[in-house]
Amino acid sequence: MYLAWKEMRYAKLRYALIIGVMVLVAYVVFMLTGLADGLADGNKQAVVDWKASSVILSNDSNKIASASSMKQSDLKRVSVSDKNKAGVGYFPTAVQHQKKSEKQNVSVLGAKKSSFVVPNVTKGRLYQNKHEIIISQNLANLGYHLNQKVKLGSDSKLYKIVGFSKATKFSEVPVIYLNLNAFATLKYGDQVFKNNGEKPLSLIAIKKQSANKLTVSQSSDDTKLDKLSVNTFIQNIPGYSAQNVTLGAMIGFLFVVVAAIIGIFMYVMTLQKTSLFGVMKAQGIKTSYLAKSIVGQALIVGVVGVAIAFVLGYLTGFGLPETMPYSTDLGQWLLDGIVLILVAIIGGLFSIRTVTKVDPINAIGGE
Amino acid sequence: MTPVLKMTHINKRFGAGHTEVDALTDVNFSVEAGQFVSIIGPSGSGKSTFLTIAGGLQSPSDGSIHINGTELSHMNAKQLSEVRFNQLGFILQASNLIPFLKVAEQFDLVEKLTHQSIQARVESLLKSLDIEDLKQKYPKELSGGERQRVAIARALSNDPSLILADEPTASLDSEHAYEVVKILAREAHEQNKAIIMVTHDERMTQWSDEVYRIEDGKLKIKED
Ligand SMILES: Nc1ncnc2c1ncn2[C@@H]1O[C@H](COP(=O)(O)OP(=O)(O)O)[C@@H](O)[C@H]1O
Ligand SMILES: [Mg+2]
Repeated sequence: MYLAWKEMRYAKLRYALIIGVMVLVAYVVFMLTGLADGLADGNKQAVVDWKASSVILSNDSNKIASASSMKQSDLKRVSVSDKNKAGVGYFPTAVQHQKKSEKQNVSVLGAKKSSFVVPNVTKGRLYQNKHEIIISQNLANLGYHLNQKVKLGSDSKLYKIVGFSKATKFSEVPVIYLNLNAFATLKYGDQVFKNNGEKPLSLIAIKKQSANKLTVSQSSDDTKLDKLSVNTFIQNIPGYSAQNVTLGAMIGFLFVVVAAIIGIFMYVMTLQKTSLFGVMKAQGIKTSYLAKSIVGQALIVGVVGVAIAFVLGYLTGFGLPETMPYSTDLGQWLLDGIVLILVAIIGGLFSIRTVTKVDPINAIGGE
Repeated sequence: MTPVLKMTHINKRFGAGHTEVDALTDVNFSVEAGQFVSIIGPSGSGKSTFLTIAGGLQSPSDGSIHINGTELSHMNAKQLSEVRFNQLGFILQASNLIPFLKVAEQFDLVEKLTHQSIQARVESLLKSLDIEDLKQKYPKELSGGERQRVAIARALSNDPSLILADEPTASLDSEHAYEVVKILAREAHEQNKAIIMVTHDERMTQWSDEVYRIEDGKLKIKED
């Protein structure tokens, strides 16, 4: 390491440049990770908040909440105690100020106010009747306030905001909770149902029971239901997997780029030093010592570059607008950082063969 | 007394058939501690080949080499590297200093690699070579003569018994060249080192205890 450090101190500019490149690439990796995590969170956060273990959808929905449809009476078919199951209605729509024309897309979730999926109210109170709603804090931040009346979907009646819950998203938009009757009206308009059991649900969320241990009774005229783990449900949120795979591939590609950049740089530096390495070998300095110092330099470039990028990425997180989906997952960044450093070391390893091949005999008589 | 370096019946051939070159033919040579020996010969006579074989950088086609009584021919690359590090010092034509280390750091590196303190030794070497003031300089900031003096100190720093100098004066003007050769002679005598200097310059041989002439790979004591 002694040689490694001393050479970097001597050739400051060169090593500063390569560290600069390392910082840039690592920074892009962190930004992409932040974006990937932000998008992923935005897609699934509300479901994660439920802390559910499994989800039941109608079989014809192909595992997609917006296409799933069942009846409230279907809840009884699930062999789980009432407090661990919750019927949920999902309706993607738009919310609008009473007097303004601009609209904001939201995910409306209907649920009995006592069910476990309904979030804690951070301000105000829970909804008590059909025309009261609670909104997530990130929607409130867009200019909505308590006791305000808003228009939802195509319903001509107004809804009153009675409470806020913590910021959350589903399908990348803020979330509104309201009761199941309101959900039925939003989705089916003025349609009349024979009794409450006939009213619609989109899905059933289950707590404390894994999907494969659930039993759901099934007779011939019942809707066919599918049991999924929450994880499978999330993976099937439209766009979720595609997004993750795409961004993941970009990050993976950047790892390869880092290996190539560090590899080429260390290789050029090594080629420039072949005659020096010859002299040092003639003096009896071991090849392993020279190889260690090359890998050491790659390690230093990797660690310093990643550390600077880490700080930059962290600071960037504070400067981004609310609307940009970005989340700083330090655990994920740590993992990225470790991979980046490993990959930089791999780049350095490419030059070892060159060092091994240097023949000390060339040090002597080279007229 | 065992000679520091003993070479017996050394032949070195390059190539085969039409292209065969006899770079060294039946070379017999030995040097003892405290001796400063010069080998003089024209370009292409086999001087570099002689030094690389003496330093274990390549093996001879025939014959044997002993350094302080130990035969080199059975050693592997790692053992040879250790022999070079502990028992040999090289002084090369141009600089054998590491460009990105200051003078003092050249010795720090040796110290790190030997895992023993050489500070006292280095201090007295720097003093006797009159280069104490250059400690904080990089090799590129030194003149040719200063650089060779540092190289001599570097070669002597881990207390080797044999120094091999390959045309150490080639890049110097005659005044500085004389000075470097005189230092080599003095170090051989005062520190009891065996020093072999290869040169093509007749004027550099006047301080040597023995002068050999090499021609077409044949080594002979020079008769005046
Ligand atoms: N690796 C080699 N392959 C072929 N011929 C060589 C090699 N090394 C040296 N020679 C030949 O051996 C002879 C002696 O070379 P060298 O020891 O370099 O001489 P000097 O150092 O006195 O100029 C020359 O004829 C040279 O061409
Ligand atoms: Mg030569």
